[in-house]
Amino acid sequence: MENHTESLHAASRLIYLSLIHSNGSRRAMAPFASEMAELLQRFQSQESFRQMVETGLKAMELRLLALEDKGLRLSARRSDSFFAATLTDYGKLLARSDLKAAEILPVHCAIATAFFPTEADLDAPVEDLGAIVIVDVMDILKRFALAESALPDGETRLHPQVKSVAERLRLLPEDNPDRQRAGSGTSWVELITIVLDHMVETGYLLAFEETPGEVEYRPTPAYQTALREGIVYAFHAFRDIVKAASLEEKNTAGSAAGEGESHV
Amino acid sequence: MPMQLELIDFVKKNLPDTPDDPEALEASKGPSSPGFGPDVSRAVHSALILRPIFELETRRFAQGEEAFSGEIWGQVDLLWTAFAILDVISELTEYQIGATRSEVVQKILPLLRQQMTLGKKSFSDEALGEVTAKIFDHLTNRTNRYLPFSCPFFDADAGRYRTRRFWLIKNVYTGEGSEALFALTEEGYTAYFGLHETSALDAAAIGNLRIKLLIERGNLDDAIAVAESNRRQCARKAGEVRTVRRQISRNIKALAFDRIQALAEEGVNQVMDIQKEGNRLHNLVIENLHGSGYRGHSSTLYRLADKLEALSHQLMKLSGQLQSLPEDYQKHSHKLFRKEATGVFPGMDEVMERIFSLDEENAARMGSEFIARMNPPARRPLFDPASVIEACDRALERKSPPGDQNQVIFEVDGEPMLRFQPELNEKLMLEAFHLIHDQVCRKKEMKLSQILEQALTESKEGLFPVAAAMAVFQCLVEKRIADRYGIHVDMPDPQSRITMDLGNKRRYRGHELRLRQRILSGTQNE
Repeated sequence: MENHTESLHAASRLIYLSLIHSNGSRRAMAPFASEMAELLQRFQSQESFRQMVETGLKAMELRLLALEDKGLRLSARRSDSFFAATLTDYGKLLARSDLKAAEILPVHCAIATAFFPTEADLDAPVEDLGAIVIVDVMDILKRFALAESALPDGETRLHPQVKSVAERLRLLPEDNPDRQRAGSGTSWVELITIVLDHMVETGYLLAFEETPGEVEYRPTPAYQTALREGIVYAFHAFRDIVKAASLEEKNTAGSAAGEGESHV
Repeated sequence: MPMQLELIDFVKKNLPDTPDDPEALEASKGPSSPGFGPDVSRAVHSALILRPIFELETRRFAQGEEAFSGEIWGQVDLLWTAFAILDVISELTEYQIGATRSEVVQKILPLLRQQMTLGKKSFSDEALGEVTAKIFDHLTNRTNRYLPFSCPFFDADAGRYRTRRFWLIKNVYTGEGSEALFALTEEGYTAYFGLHETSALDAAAIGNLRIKLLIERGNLDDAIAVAESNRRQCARKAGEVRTVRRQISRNIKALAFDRIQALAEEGVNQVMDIQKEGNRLHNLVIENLHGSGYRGHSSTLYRLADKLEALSHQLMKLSGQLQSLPEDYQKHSHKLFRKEATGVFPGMDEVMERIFSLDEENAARMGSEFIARMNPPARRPLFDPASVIEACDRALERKSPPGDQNQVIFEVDGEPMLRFQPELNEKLMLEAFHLIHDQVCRKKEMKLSQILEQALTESKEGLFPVAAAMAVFQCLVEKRIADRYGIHVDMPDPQSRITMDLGNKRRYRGHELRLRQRILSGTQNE
């Protein structure tokens, strides 16, 4: 039975260390690096240990997003789980206090749409997905804003929130040349940059600078799993609108726009 | 010997009998006006008497005849010794006319030796004696033939330089004895006692004396100021007592009983003395009020009298509090023997010492450790993109709940809601009340059957008699309604009953009630 106790201790330890790792504090992880490596090896090799860990995660309302080098990436299983991040927490993480849900939501959805334009992409291997740049995201946002205004009134498919979100988006400027000044107000570019940087910081995206001055972003398995497992209706609705808009464009433009969209 | 204090601050009155410089007196005319110049001059004038004491320092480097006296000079606390000399003389002259030089030196010697023991060397008595004697000589101004100290100062009032001449220690001639006798002058006393930052009660005692002198000299405004400061001193003492009392009830172990005892005893005595003095002052003031002397100052005198009275009240309270201190202690003394509760934090005073001896970093670390152990675990939310999208979703949902809130509901077959409509509606009841009111007013007393008959004949409506009956019933039951219509209903005879047909196949059966006009108080209706 000590075996069991010992395994329980190890499993709990792995979950604890993974929590530290998922919180993004690399400094706090430093003293535990060797321990973590050992536990990860055990996780990958022993089936019984793996099951134990997964049961523990389920009990703590956590979800395993990906197995990374330095630890397990965890997230909350549901939105009302104790560990779930709220908007205020997110605002603190971004170091912005004046965060508005209506502004952040489309940005995240646009980034997600840029990475996973079709449903199938959520299951495809991560390496096959391309990289995006900020311009892509801007493009999607433009299309969304336009498409939403073109939607007929009385459209009951969407949440009324989405309407207000699109409204807000249209009111924001795309870029604010006074971005450096404090209190200058948000713009699309600024929001996108902040969100992307934060996700790179927390390890959900990878940033590459292939050509100087132009930063590319690639998704990680953790990011893909998060969007796949998470119940994110807003993202799907957003994507639908954008897709409808792009289809229309293709029809009206009458030429291959290079989107290469296969149907949903 | 009662302390005759020359008042440091309020000196500039017409005082012909002081040994001060006569010039100074002529220059000051009338009561001192508040102003910058005169205040400063006054302060300077008073501060001058301390100059000889501070000038002792200049003699530090004088060489003496005895060995090592130079070293002694280097180590001794001159100020302390000088004041010690003044004190010793005042003590010795309590029952004698004066003290001799040798007596004073004898008394000071051991005190000086105490000072010297802090160094490693021990000095001879002669050396110490010489130093003491030199200090004494300086204070008596021996080098200047025992003449008074003469200090020039600038008097802003007069606009010129003046000199103050005074003695600190003066020779008294008795005609007997071989040695010269010395005593303190007024200035000497002032120099010594005036500087006392005294305890609260001492200050109050001194204050009383000052008040007395001030009143005698007719300086009433200043007397009021001193009374005010006395009151403050009493408040200070009361504060001390309060603190001690609180300590008794909270942390009795930190107090020593003999301290409390001492506080109580000496405090009570002092307070009683001060109070007696205060009462005497009060009487003095009252006398002067009714007397002839201060015609124009009666308002000030009244103020002074009030202040003194308030002061004496305060003092009485204070003495009561002081007296009860030992009793309080006894009452809470069981706490001394309490068993330490287990599992509870150690006493604050134990821990505080240890904490304060730590340096900042360690203390901070201990603090964070403590917080971590005392508080529930911190909540660390996990970030992932999906949860952000969800969180935004939820936030938006909270702001604008989904649903057709702006749409109007069209009910095809809707009907308005039915509400209960009584048959005896308002209008009918009002009419019934009016009928009864009129009838009773006219006839002063009516029976229920009469009312009902009247109702039957009067109105065509079927329900009117019923309404009348109901109205009567309401007057019987509800006082307010009866008052409103001025009707008093009662049942004179429990046995009499009536039966009446009210029409519409209704029949009234019940007691015969009597209606009378209510006579309201104050109005004559009959």
